[in-house]
Amino acid sequence: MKLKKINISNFRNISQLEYTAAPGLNVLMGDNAQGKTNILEAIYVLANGSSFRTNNDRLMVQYEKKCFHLKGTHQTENRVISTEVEYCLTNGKQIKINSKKTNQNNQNRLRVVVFTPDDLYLVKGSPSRRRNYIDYILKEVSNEYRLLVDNYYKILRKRNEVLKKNPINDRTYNLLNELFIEYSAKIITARINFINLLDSLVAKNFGQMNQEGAIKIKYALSFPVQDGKVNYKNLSDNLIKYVEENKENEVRRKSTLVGPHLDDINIYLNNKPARLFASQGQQRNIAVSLKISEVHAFKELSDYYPVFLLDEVLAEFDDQRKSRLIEQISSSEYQSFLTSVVNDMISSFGSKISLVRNGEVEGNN
Amino acid sequence: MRLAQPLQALIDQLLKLPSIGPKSAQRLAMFILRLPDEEARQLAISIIDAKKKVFPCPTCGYLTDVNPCMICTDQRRDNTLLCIAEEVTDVMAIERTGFNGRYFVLNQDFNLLKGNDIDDIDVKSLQERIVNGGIQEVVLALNPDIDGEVLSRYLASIIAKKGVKVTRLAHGLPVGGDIEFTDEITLKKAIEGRKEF
Repeated sequence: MKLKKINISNFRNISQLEYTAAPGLNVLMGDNAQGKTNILEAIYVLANGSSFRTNNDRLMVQYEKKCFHLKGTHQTENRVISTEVEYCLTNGKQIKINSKKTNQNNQNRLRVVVFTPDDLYLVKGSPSRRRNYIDYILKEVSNEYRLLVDNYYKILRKRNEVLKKNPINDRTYNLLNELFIEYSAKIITARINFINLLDSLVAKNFGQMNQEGAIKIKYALSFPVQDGKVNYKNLSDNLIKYVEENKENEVRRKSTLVGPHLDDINIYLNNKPARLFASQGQQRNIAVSLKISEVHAFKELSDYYPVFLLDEVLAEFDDQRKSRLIEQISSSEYQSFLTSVVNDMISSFGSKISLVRNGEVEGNN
Repeated sequence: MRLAQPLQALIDQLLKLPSIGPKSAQRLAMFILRLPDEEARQLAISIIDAKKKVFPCPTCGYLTDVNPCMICTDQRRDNTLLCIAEEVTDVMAIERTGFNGRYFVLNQDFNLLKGNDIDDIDVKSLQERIVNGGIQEVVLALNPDIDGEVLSRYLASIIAKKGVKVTRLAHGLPVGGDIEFTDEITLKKAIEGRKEF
C-alpha cells in the first residue's frame, strides 16, 4: 500500500500544501517548528480519522480557521483509492472513501504504522503502552479482534461493578465470570500467536541494525500457567483456577486483578530485561526494531505493507546506526516518511528529500 | 419572554417526553392549540384511557386491557413453544414475524453497570409457567449484548433444569441483504450457523 499524493489545507500550521510522494523513502527535512511532524500527522489522520498526538480534533484546525481538509490517494496492489477527511469546528468530522461517506473502520482505508519519539517508552514505560502496541496492529488486521477487545472491556467494567457490591452476588458473579474467562482466553491466544510471529521478526531486524546483542520478546501473563502449553483450553483452565483461588482478594480489593488488561510484554536484551538493563540508546534501538517489525508483521498477517511514518527517529543515534537504519528503510519494499533536522546527512540514499519551511514544502515533485 | 400560564404548563409537560427538546415542545404545544376542540379532547382522553386501562398481562407480561391478554387467549397458537423477550416492544417486533408460540416478557431492567443483580430478575412466574404449561421448547430472544448474554445463560440454566429444550435466536445475514456488504463478524457467525439445505 502506497500513498501517492496528499493535499492538506488549514491543518495546524499548514495553509495549503500538495505533496506527491515517492514510492520508497520520503524525507521531510527542516528546522524545528516548521511543520514536518504536521505532515506525518496529516497522513495518519487521513488513514485513521484521528491523530496520534491528540484526542481533541479541534486542535488540528489552523488558528482562526473553521475546517481542516485532507485529501489523499493511495495505491493498493490492484486499485487506486481516494480518501477525504474533513473536520469542521461546527459540524464535526466526515470521512469519504472514493467519494462515499464512511467511517474510520472502512476496510479500504489507508493503513499506517507510526513511530514517534514517545515510543522510546515502549521499552521502559508502563505495560499499557506495550499492550496498546500489539492491540493496535491486531485491531488493524482483524475487526473480529477489535470487537473482542471492545467487548472484553465492557465485561470488565461490569465485572468490577459486581465486585463492588457488598456482599457480592455469587450467581451474577459466576455468570459474568464465565464470559470474562472466555473473552480473556481468546484475546490472550490471539496475542500470544502474534508475539511469536513478532519475536522472530524483531530478532532478525535488531540483528540487521546492531552488530551485537540478541533480543527476545515474551508475553507475560498476569496469572500462572501450569505445564506451559498455551492454547485456548489450557489458558482458560488455568485462568479459571487462578480466579477461583484469588476470588477473596478480588472481593476485598473490589476490582478485577487478573486478565489481558493487566498482561505485559517482556523484552529481553541478551537475556536481561531491557527495561532495566538496556541503555537509553539501546532502548531506542529496540523501540525502532519493534516498530519496523510491526510493519513486517502487518505484511505477514494481511498480505500488504502499511505506510511507515517515522517522526524524529534519527535523533540520538550515532552516525553508524543512522546510516544503517536509513539504508534499511530506503531499500525496503514499503513506503516510508521520515522527518529529520537539516544536517542528518541522508542525501546519499537516493530518496526523495523535501525541505519543510513554515508550513510549506520546497523541492516538491 | 412570558407565555400564558396554561401554554407554558403544556410545554413543560411535553418537554418531559423522550427526545423532545424545548423547540419541539413549543411546536407540539402550538399544534395542539390549533386543533379543533374535539380532537384535542380525544388526545387528552386517549392519554388518560391508555394510562388507566392498559396493564401488563399477568400471564405473559405483554401489554393488554383484558386479562388474560389477546395473545394468551388465542387458541390457534402453539402451546408447546414459549418465547422469552426482554421488553414489550421486542414482542411487537417478533409478532410482526408471524411467530406462532406463546410469550414471556421479562419487563425488568437488567444492566450490570447500573448495579442490577441476576437475582433481581423474578423467575418464579417463569418457572411456574414452564412447569404448568406443557411447554416443550423455550426460545431465548434477548438482545445480543453482554447483559443479554449473561441473562440468556442464566435463564437457559434454569429452564434446562426443568428438562425443557432451550434455543436462542440465530446470528446472521439480514434477509434481502448482500453478502458482499455484510461485515465480516456477522458473516462469520452466519457461516458458523449454516444450515443443511
